[in-house]
Amino acid sequence: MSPDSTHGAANVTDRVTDGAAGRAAGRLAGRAADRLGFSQGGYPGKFTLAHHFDTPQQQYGAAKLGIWLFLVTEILLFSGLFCIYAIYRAHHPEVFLFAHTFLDKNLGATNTVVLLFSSFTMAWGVRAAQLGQRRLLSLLLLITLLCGFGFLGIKGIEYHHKWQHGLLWGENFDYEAIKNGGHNESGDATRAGDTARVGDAPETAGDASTEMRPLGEGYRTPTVHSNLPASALSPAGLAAIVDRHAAHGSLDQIPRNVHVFFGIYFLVTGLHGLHVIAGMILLAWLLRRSLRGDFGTRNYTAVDMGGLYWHLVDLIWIFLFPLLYLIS
Amino acid sequence: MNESPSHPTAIAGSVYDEPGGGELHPHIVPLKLLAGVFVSLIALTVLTVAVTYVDLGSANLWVALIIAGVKALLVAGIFMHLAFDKGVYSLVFASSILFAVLFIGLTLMDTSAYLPNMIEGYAPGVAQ
Repeated sequence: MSPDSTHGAANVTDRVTDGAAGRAAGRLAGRAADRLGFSQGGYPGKFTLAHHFDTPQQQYGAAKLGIWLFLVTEILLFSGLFCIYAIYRAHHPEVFLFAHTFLDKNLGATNTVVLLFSSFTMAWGVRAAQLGQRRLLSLLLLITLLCGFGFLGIKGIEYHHKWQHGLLWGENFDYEAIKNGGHNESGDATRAGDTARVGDAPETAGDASTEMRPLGEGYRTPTVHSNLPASALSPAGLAAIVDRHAAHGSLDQIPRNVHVFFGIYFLVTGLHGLHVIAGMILLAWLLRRSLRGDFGTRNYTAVDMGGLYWHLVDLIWIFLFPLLYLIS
Repeated sequence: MNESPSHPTAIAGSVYDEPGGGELHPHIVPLKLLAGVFVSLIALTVLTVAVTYVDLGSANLWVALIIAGVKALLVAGIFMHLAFDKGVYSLVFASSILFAVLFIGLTLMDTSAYLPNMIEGYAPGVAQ
């Protein structure tokens, strides 16, 4: 189909789609674009054929294969980290069962929604570039970039919270802090400004189904039972049955090596965050070029390839979220 | 082979008139399909979170991974355009997944086989 269409986005969406919700959402999106005057298409963009390619198709195909090979290397990079996760979780499920409760599921879910939405706007942006919808493309790239900032912001909040509660990697981990459900014996200033959350670690005995814990909403009480054979439990703390009512507790009830979970957490989310930052730099570059008028029906390759990278960042998070936040 | 030192950067370039040259004719994904996939992804995310409130024992992990796999297929197929592209790109992507699975799977098999025996009581999560 010819990409030289100057019609609005709504005219090219009359296809078999994904169900009523999708059709409705698509109509909404299309109408919003039309009404705001963004759907004017047909802008050709600035095209160059590099000297070593015979045709534009060949140039585009080379770019696509190249970026997919790069994405493969990224997947293999993260597979190393997923391997660390898999091995350690297989051998020490008690560590994961205990430690993941210190992660806020709501923030994690929000981050997932933010990245999924950014993937949607990115894919839509590629479509806008292909149709020569110049203003719409710039807007969508901007929204995607802002979603990246949102993701990093929420991640920053999570990291800050962990810093405050001493939930760090390796020897920086503060076992004293978690022993008392989140604050030091000395009640020192590491959690300044957080008193509302950490304050009254009450022994809320009684309602076993409550989700509220001293560390705040979204943090679940550790599960009470363990699948481990009794012989694996010992006073030395190789494994632990964690009393769900014990916001306080002796160190014996906490699994050994809980800090390893946080080491894995920071390694995986940190590397992913670095990839998000790199993607945002890429998006900023694409936005600048889009505002300059480089992209259109004849030149959308860079947007397409940048989009593929951003989708990969989203893909990785799609797997990270349940593995880190939704252990049960 | 185009040997000329300068290439057309504007609209009326000659490369478009050459045989084999010309425009890219991309498959353009319908907006409704993109929006539909987005809505599905959100729904699957809600499902993933909801399932954690149901205790399925060790199956919880597999359910979460399967739902994540479906989400990944949607993103890879529609957003990343693999469903509409030539098969070679899907092959490249699938091969990376294959090697990742081999990597993790074989390492798990290996460590599960010897690690509990190395240090007494070291791996309480693995059945003896």
